This record gives sequence, C-alpha cells and structure tokens, in this order.
Amino acid sequence: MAKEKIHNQIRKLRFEQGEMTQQELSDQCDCTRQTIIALEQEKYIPSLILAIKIAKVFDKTVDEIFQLLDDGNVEEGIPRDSG
Amino acid sequence: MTQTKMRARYGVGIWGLVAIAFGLVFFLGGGAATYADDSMRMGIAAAILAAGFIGYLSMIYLTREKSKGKALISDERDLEIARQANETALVAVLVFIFAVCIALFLGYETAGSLPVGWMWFLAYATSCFGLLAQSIATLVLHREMSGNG
Repeated sequence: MAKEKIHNQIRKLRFEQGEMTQQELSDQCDCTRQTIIALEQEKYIPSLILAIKIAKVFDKTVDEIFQLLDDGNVEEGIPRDSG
Repeated sequence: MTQTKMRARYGVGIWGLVAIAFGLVFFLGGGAATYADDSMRMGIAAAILAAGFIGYLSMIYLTREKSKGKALISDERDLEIARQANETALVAVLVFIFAVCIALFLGYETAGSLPVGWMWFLAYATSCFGLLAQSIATLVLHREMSGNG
C-alpha cells in the first residue's frame, strides 16, 4: 500500500489573505496555533470538520486547499461535480 | 504549550520519581523475599504510590481548561495524540507484564515457587510503568506531529 500524504495551501492562503497570523486562523477554526503550525508543516492530517472550517475561512473548497499526495505526487484527475 | 503536552511532561516527572522511589524501597532492604513480611516497607511503598496518584490528580485538576476568553489549550490533534499514546501504552504494559512474568518464571523455575513479594512488585510496577509509558508516548507523538511543539 502506497504511503499517502496530504499537501495543503494553508500557508500560501494565509499570506494572500493580508498576512493572516496563525493565531487568527486558529481562533477562527476553533483549534490551537500548534495545530496550524503542524498542518503547515504537513505533520498532521486534519479531520474533515477542521478541513471544512479552514476552507470556510479562506472561502475555498476543501479540495482547493488540501490535495492527496500518493508517493510524493499530487493525485490528479479527480472528477468534480459541475452540476 | 498545549494541555496534553504539559500534562505529559508533569506525568513523566511524577511517575518517574514514583518508579525510582518504589524501586529503591523494594530492592533495598531485602527485595521480594522479605517484602511481604516487612510492613514498614509495604507502608512506605503504598504511601509513595498514593502520593503519586494524589500528585497526578492534582496536576490534572490544576491544568484543566480555564476557558472563556482565553485561547484554546487543546483540540482534535491533542485528542488524536492522546488516543495513539493510550494505544502505545497498552501495548507497552502488555509487553512489560509478559517480560516480568517470563523473567520470574526463568528465575524461579528450578525452585518451583517464588516469593509473594513479586506480586506486589508486579502490581506497583505495572501502574507506574503504564502511566509513565503513556506520558512518554504523548511527548514523542507531540514531537512527531508538531512544528515547534
């Protein structure tokens, strides 16, 4: 079984949103600053609930922020429901 | 520092001290052979374990969430770390009990019986070891699942 990882855009999005601090993001997502640090360093995979909360803060969809990595590559070709 | 990490640090300190103190009381002064007949050593060991539990429970109370207006001190990552640490500690305790039982069997195989003091050792040491293992596993997992801790 291939080792899977989750890549995310949190750090990039934080800076795009007027250099939002880790504390500000954690306050809005009801998590600790340490969890945001761990997420940005990809040492922790969030629960679906936390992923949705983060996506809401950045006004994005979950899969725009989190991508599944399979053996170091971003998984491609996941069809998205356009309807 | 999050609540689980703080508690784990105190836990290592408390149960490490209890383990050392119990080890000294048990092994110095005759070991298992005389332990069950020595009410003073048994009393001291019981007091050490009781002090450990009182200290641990006090620490849990003092590090409880104070909340309202203050930043969160634990979240889902802490719960996940605690879950994994408990699983690790369970396995460690099973291995510990297995290893002690086998060691006692090998040590007393030819004698055919063993001093009942070893039962006290197993009971006390398993308690200390389990809680110590849980605290250490929590710190290790925090290190693995953290940016700067």
